[in-house]
Amino acid sequence: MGGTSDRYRPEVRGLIAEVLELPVERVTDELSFGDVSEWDSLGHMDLLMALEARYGIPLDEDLIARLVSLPAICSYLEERAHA
Amino acid sequence: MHEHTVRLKTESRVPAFLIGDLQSRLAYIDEDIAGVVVAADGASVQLSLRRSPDADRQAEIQTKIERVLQAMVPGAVKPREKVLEDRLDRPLPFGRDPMPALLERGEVVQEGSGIAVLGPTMSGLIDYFEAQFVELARSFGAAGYRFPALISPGLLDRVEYFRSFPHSLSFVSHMREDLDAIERFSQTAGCKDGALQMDRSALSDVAAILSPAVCFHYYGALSGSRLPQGVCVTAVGSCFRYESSNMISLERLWNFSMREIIFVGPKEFVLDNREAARKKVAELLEQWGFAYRVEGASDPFFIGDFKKQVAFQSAFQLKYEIRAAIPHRQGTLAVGSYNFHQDFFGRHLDIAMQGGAPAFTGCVAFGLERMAYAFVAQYGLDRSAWPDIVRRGVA
Repeated sequence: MGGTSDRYRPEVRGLIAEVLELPVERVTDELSFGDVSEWDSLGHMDLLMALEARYGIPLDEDLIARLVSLPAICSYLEERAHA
Repeated sequence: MHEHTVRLKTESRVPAFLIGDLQSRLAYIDEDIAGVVVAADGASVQLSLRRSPDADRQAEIQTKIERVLQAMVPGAVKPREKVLEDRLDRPLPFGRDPMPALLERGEVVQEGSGIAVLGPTMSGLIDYFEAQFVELARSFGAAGYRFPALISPGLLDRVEYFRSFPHSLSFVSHMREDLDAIERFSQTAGCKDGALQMDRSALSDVAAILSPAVCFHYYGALSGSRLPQGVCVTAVGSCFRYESSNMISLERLWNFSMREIIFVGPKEFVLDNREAARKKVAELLEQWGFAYRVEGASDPFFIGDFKKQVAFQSAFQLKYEIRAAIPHRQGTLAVGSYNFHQDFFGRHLDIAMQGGAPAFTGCVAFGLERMAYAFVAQYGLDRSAWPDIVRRGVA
């Protein structure tokens, strides 16, 4: 995955690692919900709450269902930055 | 038993979409609570207590309520209303509470709290609905299974049931293998206020739990399997969910029967079959004349993970309930559900497709006592008012 959302990737990767308690090297570029046992339903909600706290991303159903991978989160942050 | 009413103000207002969930959870927080009503404005809670509380007890209960509120309310995501079918506007011939007539005619005998014996008309309705559900299951090629009423604690542990639904468990024990304890029990045991009085040290550890669902048994049986293709099975079973003071009429029984059609396989196989089943069930409900709607729902998680799990289930549309109209209280009752578990059971129980991908699971479930209860709540016990197809079908 290339493009402008790359600028968010390092910090989002760090956030995912922190919230899901994963070594950062396990957070691959394409990591998605369900790829690791730590990113389960509860892990996903913890991650969404951390995104809300750090970036002010509203916790609504559309975003809960949409932000299901590292690229999806980075793309959303990029979109929002340009909105 | 005389009950004492106490009204407690909540520190923060409970949003309307959480009132029902909060009310049902508060029933579990203190043994003195016999009933709970959360005010429609979410600003107070009215408790019926079994004993008059002194100031300390009242403060203790208030603290527990605030703990529950703190766990459930801040940051709760409001679920978006998702209605797939709506036939609640169907005209119905009956509008009274059916329970007095059911009790008077011996169609319902309440053996204990949440424990009901059903008579011939209610049993006939259940048998009729059940037969149609079995036929529906056969249309999916479902193989028939029989599952026990007991379930292994190990299986429930593997699927994290204790974490999500600790409040509704019913544990199974037996006398320890101890001559003195058994003899003492036989000489001293008796019942008081509906509860067995005995020396609890005579009881064994919990080696079994009364099964809270049907499909878990099948997922447990598949543990370690590698499936060449999707599979569909069906079973009816006794299920047990302790509902505390929420156990009323036939709406919430401790021990109830559930017919399930269970799908295991690739994601699309499970989702497509769940949707196909929904459409076929809609035809049945139409024939039977039910006023109902199908809407998004969530499982009754306890307070620990409630907020997260409910938001997750709702966002991913994992559960829909068939909610039948209960005209006499202008409400609805869940009589069935369409469930998609993603690959939760596949991962937790090591069920995979032959290629190695975790299997997805889903089920369609019908609460049989509730189906019969909702039907008589809508049509009464006078068979001449029933839809022809049901009247002819019930022996």
